[in-house]
Amino acid sequence: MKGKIILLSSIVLATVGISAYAGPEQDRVAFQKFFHDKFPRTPKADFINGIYSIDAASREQWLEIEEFPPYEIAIEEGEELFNTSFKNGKSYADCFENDGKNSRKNYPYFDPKRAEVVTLELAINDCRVANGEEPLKYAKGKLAAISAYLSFVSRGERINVVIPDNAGALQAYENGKEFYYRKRGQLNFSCFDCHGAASGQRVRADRLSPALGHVSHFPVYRSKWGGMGTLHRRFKGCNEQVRAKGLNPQSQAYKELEYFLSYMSNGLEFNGPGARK
Amino acid sequence: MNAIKLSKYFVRGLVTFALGLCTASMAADQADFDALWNEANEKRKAAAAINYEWRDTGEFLETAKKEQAAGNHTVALALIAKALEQGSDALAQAEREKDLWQARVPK
Ligand code: HEC
Repeated sequence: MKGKIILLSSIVLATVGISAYAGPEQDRVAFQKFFHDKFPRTPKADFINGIYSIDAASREQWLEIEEFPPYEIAIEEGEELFNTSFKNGKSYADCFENDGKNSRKNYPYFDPKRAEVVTLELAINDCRVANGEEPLKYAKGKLAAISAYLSFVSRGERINVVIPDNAGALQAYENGKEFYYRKRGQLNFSCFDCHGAASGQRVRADRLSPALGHVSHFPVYRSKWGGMGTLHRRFKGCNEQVRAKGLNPQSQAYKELEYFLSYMSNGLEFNGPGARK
Repeated sequence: MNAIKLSKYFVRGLVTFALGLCTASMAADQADFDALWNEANEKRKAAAAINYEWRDTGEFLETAKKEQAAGNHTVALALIAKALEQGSDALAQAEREKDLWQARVPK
């Protein structure tokens, strides 16, 4: 009898829990609505353009830059690298279907066997290591160039992160989410403090871009960097801006952060690589 | 033994004694430093383990080592104090955020 009551009450509790929080999809709908409400004049598909989706003044300059995009060299370099054979005669095309075309949309994903999030950059290095080559550095350089090329040949595909019915995958998503909303660093800011609540506002010389669409256009050429950088390079830079110690690109926390943040932008188009200040 | 010889011994003894004191206090300084440095570094590592280390804490600790080696004991201790405070603040921040973050999620 006692056992039955306990069982019954735990079923009731579980049901209440489920109705209070239905999971990632409920998060995504609320997240997107937050930005649609905050910037009602921005067409929903335009959030992939970062700050330029909400700031008409800088959009003009940016459109001019896009006529001779500074990331073009990286795309060419990436294409050449992609098509160069490894020492064992194989190449990236053996790892990425369809010569890499439209492969961007397959990342990030959760691999239940490895029990980790696999990003595009990780997959590029996995391909190298599987073929006896040294892995590349994750923040910039050749890896960013290959990533730029694969993003370019995947433009127009939609972000479509799937969270499989797997405890590890859900945990990875939850970890990424928690990382995003937690304040950290000496200045005590969360990502969302700047890119959610305060998005559109000015800090020093910059205006803060909305988080919706943040992952769509990476890697980017940044004039401040004088070159290309991956999404995780940007994560690190933003952590250090608030005087938190930045983590390593492709660390577990950053992969999970990318997993969460990409899921939030599901439905938007990939338009990388991009150009930013 | 004449008076001159006596005073020579006396001076020599005094110098040895003073040198001894000085070495002892330097050793004490070093022990102080090491203990505090380790304490601050443990705090830093505890924060790092939960992705909560602050940006400059490690640098304060590295600089403290250099200052100590250069004999600038006071400066070195001040740097450790800053690192220690940052480590504690970072851990407190992590603890505080355990629940607070939930309120920021758009509903
Ligand atoms: C103190 C405010 C601040 C915080 C906190 C912050 N950022 Fe940023 N972030 C900026 C600024 C400023 C820029 C450059 C202007 C812009 O695009 O918003 C930027 C740019 C970005 C971009 C590039 C946007 C684009 O269109 O290319 C991404 C992605 C990003 N931040 C992610 C994050 C993440 C993830 C976090 C938390 C780990 C974070 N930011 C925390 C200020 C912040």
